Amino acid sequence: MSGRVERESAPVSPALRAPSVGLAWLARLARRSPLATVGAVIVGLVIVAALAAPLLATTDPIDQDLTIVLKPPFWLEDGSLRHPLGTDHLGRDVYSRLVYGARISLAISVLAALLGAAVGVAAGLVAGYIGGRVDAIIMRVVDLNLAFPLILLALAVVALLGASVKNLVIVMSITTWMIYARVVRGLSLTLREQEFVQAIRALGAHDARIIARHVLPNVLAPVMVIWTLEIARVILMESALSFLGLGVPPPTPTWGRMLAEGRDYLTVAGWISIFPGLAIMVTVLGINFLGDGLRDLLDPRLRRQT
Amino acid sequence: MRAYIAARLVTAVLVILGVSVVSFFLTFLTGDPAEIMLPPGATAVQIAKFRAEWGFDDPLAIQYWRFLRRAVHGDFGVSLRHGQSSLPLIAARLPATLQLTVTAMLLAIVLAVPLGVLAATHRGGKIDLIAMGVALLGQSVPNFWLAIMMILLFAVSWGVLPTSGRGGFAHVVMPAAAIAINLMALLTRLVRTTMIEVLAEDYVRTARGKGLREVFVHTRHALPNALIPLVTVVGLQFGYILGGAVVIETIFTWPGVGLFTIQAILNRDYPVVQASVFILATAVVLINLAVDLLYVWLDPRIRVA
Amino acid sequence: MTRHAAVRALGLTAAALGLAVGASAVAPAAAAPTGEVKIGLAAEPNTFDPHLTVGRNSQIFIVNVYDGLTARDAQGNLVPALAESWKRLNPTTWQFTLRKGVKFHNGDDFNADSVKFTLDRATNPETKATIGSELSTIARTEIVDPFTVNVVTKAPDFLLPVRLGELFGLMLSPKHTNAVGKEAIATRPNGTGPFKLVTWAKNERLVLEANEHYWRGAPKVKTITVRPILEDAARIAALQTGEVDLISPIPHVRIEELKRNSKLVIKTIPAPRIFHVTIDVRKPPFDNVKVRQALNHAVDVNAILKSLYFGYGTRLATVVDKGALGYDPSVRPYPFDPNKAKALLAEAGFPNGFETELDSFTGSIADHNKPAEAIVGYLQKAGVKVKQNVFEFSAFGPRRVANQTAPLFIYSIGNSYLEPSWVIRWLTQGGLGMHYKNARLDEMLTRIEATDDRNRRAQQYGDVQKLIKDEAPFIFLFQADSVFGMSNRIDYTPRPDETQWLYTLGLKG
Repeated sequence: MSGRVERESAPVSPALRAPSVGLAWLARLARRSPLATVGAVIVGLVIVAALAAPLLATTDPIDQDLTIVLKPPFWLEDGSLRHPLGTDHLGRDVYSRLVYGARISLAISVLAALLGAAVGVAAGLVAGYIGGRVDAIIMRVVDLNLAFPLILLALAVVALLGASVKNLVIVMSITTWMIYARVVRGLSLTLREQEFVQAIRALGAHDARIIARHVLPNVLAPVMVIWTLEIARVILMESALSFLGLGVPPPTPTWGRMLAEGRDYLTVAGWISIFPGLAIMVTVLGINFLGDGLRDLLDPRLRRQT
Repeated sequence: MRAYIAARLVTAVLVILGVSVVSFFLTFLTGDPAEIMLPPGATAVQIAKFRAEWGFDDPLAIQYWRFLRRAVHGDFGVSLRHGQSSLPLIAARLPATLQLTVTAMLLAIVLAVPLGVLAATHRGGKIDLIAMGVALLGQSVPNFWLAIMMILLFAVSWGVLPTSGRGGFAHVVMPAAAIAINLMALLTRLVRTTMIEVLAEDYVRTARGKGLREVFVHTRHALPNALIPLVTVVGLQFGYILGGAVVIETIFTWPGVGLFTIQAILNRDYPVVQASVFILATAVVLINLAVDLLYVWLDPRIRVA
Repeated sequence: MTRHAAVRALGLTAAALGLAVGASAVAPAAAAPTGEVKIGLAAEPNTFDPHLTVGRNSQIFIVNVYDGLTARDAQGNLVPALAESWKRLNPTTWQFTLRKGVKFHNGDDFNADSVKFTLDRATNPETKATIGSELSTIARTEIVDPFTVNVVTKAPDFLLPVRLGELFGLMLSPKHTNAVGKEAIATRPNGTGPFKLVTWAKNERLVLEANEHYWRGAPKVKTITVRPILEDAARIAALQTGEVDLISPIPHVRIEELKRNSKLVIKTIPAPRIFHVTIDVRKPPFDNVKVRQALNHAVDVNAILKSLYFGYGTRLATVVDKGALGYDPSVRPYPFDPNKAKALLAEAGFPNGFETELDSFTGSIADHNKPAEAIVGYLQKAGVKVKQNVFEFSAFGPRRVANQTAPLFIYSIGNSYLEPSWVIRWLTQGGLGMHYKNARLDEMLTRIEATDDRNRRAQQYGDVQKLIKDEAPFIFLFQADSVFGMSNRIDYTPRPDETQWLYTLGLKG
């Protein structure tokens, strides 16, 4: 069973790209934006937890033991260090589930945000660079998607396809690609008209080449910022879908699932949902701090003013 | 200007049409509701008979034609579950949803504007840090969790607010706050960013140069300009707010469109789903249209483009 | 039911009714309904058109506005209602003698016309009745005289008096139904029941008012306001804060906590909802009875009842619930024995277990997901690697009907007839996802169904349960208790058949 958990976590690595630029970068970030530094540290810790889950976890996260259900965390009466954050309704170790949950939750949201970004950037580049009827069609699809109540769309798709990690990633990416498309379209529209692009084109360069070599690199910074913030939104969305009973199927631990499962036990065994709730909050907060910091660093307009 | 409005209207209609087509096929693909409408003891023969009676076994094209012919006249058919015409059913729930979402928006704006302005004018200082911290915290809480916590705290422990349902103003406070908190965070950040930009503009510097008091400069000269992007974002966020309202309406049993629609989806009540998606999409499109026009009016430069 | 049994049942209720009727006749002023009670429920009916109800949640509520020809008492016995008595004239004809002097809410008289109109409407294809399948045995309804009707069935149907009770035999007024039309009847019902529907804003509130001329005597409470409160935490909170006086359901985990609250009374009652895991006996290795028995030994159902239901449930040896006719306590459940399970698997040729899948779902009347998760955990420990799939209930239904489920799926069936044969017939029909079929079992059931005497029927169910247990086409689980929470200012006794019968609801003091 843990084999499955491991496979799913493999795609976590892209998230490393953002903060792994180096210590110098971190130092620069710390000077400019203390909040972003806090964010980077939080995100870093969560990623470490996700990657090292098998080492950090004290027990198998799906191993149930109905003789020890609803045991409290160790600092409360009747708690023990064997289950430092207590056990859930099936006697599973909350701490280990939390650590493994980091993998699944992060993997799902990073992937969904990535897929959404890929589709959105491609659509935005094509719409902005080619323009005309293609632009009109793509932007109408964007409008259509935006007008469709997202959670209803997600509900319908999950109800149709069934709940699984793959389907959740697809559904959530459907709710996020439009924002990239809009931003990238605007940027590539401006870029197309700029002298250096016109010049390259006059030299006979291929459109695809121009997009890939000259337009794309120039839109990556804002895409990066949006991507970070969308990961945060997708994490919250996963928990909302779990709440509606449409999250990742059991027994796979995700923070959203744990939170939703624990809500009946809030007054009796609050730790089941409080810890995943805190985990979601702190992680999303960290990602948001980081995203804001990145924006300050990368967005040329804001940089000019500092 | 007139041409611009006409063009926007045409695309609005196209988008709404597109949404209704997508919603039809999506609901169709999720399978027909025979099994969940019949008592558990129904046999295969009875299920088949029921399907034929309701026309669920007709080919997709015929069902779509039937749907389209009615939909043009604003008739989305009779709710399978409620036995009543679906569009009026949804329309009757619109006021509750509007009350909730508009309250949430106002709440978010009222909180976000001062917080954002404070953060911008004290940029880099402690106040900025705190304001941003609060804002981002608000954007980080799963709102259904927050909603349940609020019920336990404000209704059960302190007994100051009603637990759920719709009634007087007290009833709307918790659900609106649960929706507002995410939006508030977003708007605070937006106000801060635009305020910082505006404060660096020449005319603000001029006003300052004339020796006007800081507070006056901020509120009279900088703020109105900083609010323009706010209008757009609030408009764009309306769709998201409606989406968020679905979960919150469920928790508080707020008798709005979101709750009604989610039940319709789960019950495969297609006529209601289609009517609801149509109304919600129309609302989103119309509000975006209004925002665009307002934007043109506020910022004449757009008209040229 | 024989005439003998019917008369006995009649005598029973006559004693109970004598009080109420007598009281209202002697001192109508004293018995006048007073006060208001507010109720919070997880679901509300979809319609008040008794032929278009969807789901148990609707059927168990609209009985407060309508009456059937028969009814059930607090113990679940079949008792007279709009019919004073009934008898079988021949294998396919049931005769009902109707109660005289009963009026609908709007003053229309109840008589044989009402019965014929109602049953004709229910079986008319144009009604597109959702409950049509439950009345499909009816061939025609004949009026003998203004207060006697014969219902002729296509084949012998010993359950007809139960069908025509509170389940699917709620009586309509022909005049009103024709006058208001099909759409309006959904929200403007006109029954003979203890309450009239006053207002109904869906998802918001539903107000009932006492029918002071009710034939059983006026109900005790004048106004009942029902609020749907979907979220468990919010519903319990509403009870705790006094916003409502009565709620159901309550998650079992909250019972102890609420019992400590001196202002509240928590009542539990076994619900006739039978949880089980259906096994696809067609597919190897499940065609081997040893494998099926091994699965039954592998799951510690008592531990599940203790940890997920906090003891508020009953372990079942088969798919016959404890309150049903003919429940045989001598048929013992498979004991939890992981070693036995492994040994049986080894005997069947799977010493190292095997891989399979189990479907569960969310969004139905009860929580199936948590028990399914626990069951999967136990099966893993016995060496059976189970992948759990979770569906939305409305997505699972079509999969089941199309025979597309995983080899194992959890399910629960409400024994609303309180008669095992109905449940077992359905569960062993050999289709719609339930692939077990046994000619000997069918034969036994046919014999039981031809027996009118309740006691003689009950005796024969023992063999049926033994056979099902040995064959193990299911992982046998449990029935869970229904939980009701109420403030100590009201008096309410829940019924054993899930029906939310508000007639007996009263205010204390």
